[in-house]
Amino acid sequence: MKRTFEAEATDAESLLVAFLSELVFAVEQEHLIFIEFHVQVEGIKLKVEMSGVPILSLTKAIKAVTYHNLQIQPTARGYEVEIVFDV
Amino acid sequence: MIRLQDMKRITPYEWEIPQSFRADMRVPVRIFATQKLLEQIMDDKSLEQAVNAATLPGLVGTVVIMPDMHQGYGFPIGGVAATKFPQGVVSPGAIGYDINCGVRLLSSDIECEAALPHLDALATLLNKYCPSGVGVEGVVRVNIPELERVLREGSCWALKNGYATEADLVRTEEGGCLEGANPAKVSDRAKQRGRQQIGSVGAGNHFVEVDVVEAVLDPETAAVFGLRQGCLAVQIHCGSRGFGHQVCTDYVQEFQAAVRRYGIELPDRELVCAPMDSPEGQAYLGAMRAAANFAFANRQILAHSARRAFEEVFEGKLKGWELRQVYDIAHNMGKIETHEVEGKRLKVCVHRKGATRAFGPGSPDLPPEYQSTGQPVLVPGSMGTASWVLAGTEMSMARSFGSCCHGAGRVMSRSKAKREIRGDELRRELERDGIRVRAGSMPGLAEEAPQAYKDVDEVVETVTAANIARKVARLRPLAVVKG
Repeated sequence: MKRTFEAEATDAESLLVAFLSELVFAVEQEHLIFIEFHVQVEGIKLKVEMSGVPILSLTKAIKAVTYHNLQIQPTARGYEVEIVFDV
Repeated sequence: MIRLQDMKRITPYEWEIPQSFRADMRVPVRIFATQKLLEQIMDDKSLEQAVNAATLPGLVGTVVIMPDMHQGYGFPIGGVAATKFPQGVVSPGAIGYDINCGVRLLSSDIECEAALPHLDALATLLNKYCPSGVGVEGVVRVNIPELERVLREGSCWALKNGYATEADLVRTEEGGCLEGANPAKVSDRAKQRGRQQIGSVGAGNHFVEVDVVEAVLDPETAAVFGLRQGCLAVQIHCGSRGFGHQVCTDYVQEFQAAVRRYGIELPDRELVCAPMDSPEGQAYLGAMRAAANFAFANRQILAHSARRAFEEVFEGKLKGWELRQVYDIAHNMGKIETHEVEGKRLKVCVHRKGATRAFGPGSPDLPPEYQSTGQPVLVPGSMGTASWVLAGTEMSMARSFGSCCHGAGRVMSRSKAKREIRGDELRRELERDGIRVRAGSMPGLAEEAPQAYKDVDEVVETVTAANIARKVARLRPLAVVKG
């Protein structure tokens, strides 16, 4: 199952929240989990081409993605993110 | 890090963080708590969040914090903040993701002794008719146009469709319908999440519970509320499900840009807000009211389902089994109300997150039968422990924008609770204590263990000592249904 997600937001943190919120919706409403992502970020614009599979069973649902303690830190190995989900 | 010495002790139950504590505070923070309860929450961020909340533009009076306070997203749970209408801000984070999470209490004349042989069957049927658990859909599924009617009408929709009585609506906060709901300001995503969830409990700390009225402390008020000692009662605790969560998500996201537009600087991104009279503020208020109405309809339908279970179990076996409404309250809500602040009557938006409205006697917003007593204030305890029915007082209007606590408040995180407590052992303990459990998930049960919460009796002692509520009755659980 292939899909493209596009968003524009105020900063990287908002783009991340928008993207992950879309995944929350896909899990809850469409019972889809996306497992492959091709991400393009240009300034405050995000485009993700992703492919997913149907979920067979769900034990814990994420209800919302929050900005609580949200931090995106560049490190030598890439970006390290701290993010809190409402479960 | 805020310490005890940063606070002024006003009484053993009331503390204040002065406005001078931090330069960006616009008002002081008033905390209703004992020293013991305060010391319990020093480890989490709730006090810092209370100070952050005091930076919202347009605040009047004080930020008020209840004794069941704990850390939330941005705004602390157990918090109340009032902003001046119309140019003060409205903040989705100060209302919460689960908009109109609340509690409904129904009572009966079924005597506990007579009901005991039937409680297992009752628990099983309640579990069947009140769907709970992760990803579980509701008993009512609607298309989008019908959902929009639910969003505009709340409990009135339920009445029109045979799920309610007139008396139910009279004994629901706001008659079960907030005016000014605007489905056009709700995203398609939220509507998709909501349309199949009406009449479902959800998971987490949401539940349907059968209780016995164990003690009546104010017989006159208890009689007015319809509570009889030794008889069964039912509590329903849930909110606006995925619908409300999506509305809050959408507007926390949208307001990230709004704060820049209006030049508002805040110490926490979850506190984002917009002036009430701005297009953004009006849009959120319209969407928030739609979510509130969704939750009122949700609890009404669950009440109908609970009645169905009671009828099936008790009809023909016991007389007077019918469930009657005591009250339905919200504890995550934003309301436009009028309060006296420093001698002046002011129209304000009262944000309550993990705090319950507690209007006292003589309030015009209350049903006629509750004018003399003040409204019921429903305080569910943690699973397996007592719950309380209180009544609002005149003092609450003066001291806390007519607000009170909402429950026991967490002291242990979900992950810690799951590590330290075994769900199946907990279930056995509860059953040994005479509490029938129907739970969809053992880890989910462990997360809700009583040790993960404060002592509700101490929370209630605090609000009654501070005179913002008074005790009416204490309930003991007999059966718990949760996801």
